Amino acid sequence: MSEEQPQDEFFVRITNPNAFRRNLLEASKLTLSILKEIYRVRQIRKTKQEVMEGITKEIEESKILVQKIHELIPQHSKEDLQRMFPGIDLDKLIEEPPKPEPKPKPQPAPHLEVYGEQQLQPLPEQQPSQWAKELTTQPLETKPQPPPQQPPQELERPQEPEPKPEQEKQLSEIERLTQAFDEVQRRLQSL
Amino acid sequence: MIKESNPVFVKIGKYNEILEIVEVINKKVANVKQLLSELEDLKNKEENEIMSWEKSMDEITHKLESMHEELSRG
Repeated sequence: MSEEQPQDEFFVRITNPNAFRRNLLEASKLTLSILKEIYRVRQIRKTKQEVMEGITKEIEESKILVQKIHELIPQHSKEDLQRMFPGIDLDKLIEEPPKPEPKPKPQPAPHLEVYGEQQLQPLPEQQPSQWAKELTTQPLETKPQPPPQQPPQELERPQEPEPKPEQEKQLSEIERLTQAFDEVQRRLQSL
Repeated sequence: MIKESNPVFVKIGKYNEILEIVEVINKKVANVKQLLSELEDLKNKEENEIMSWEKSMDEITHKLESMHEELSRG
């Protein structure tokens, strides 16, 4: 090992040793400054992350608040308004936006169409419903499900609650006020 | 769409609550705007730091090249 070392030794002539030393020191200094900047950039990125999390949180909370406002603002369909204010012609008051093309609605099962005052008719045993047929034709099914003897009562659509006397009173009051407003508006128009 | 000629009065049950919520949302929007400007500042700082890196790296490369040249020439 010691005999091999002299062969590795190589003398290089440096023409400007001061400049070489200066370059070496400055390069080391720049390397250190870059390392310092790396630390600074890491701090900046950490702060950025925190700020972005804060923004996301604020936006989420704002969304919830907007949803709450949406819930608090009254929303009625045209039918509801017509029921509440029968004296007002909503067609004149409200311009209908262009309706999108109606989508084909799926046909409900025949036994679901019955509602209101009509009584549900039990299905005949000879004609089980489609889902019952599928259930009975499945190979893994050991016990075929019998077709429903009587349609479940839960399928009935809930009837709208009859207006209470107080509500009726309020509605009549509203109606009276609406008529009075209409009268005033008519007179104003005539003037 | 409601025609302009026919004013409509809609009863809002919790009007004050809605106003308070709107106020809170306004504050949040202002806060988000401030945070966004902070984010912009941070982004600019980061870009400046990266540009400084590039400049320093160029200098280091230049110095290394001159040293390498010096060593190779000898």
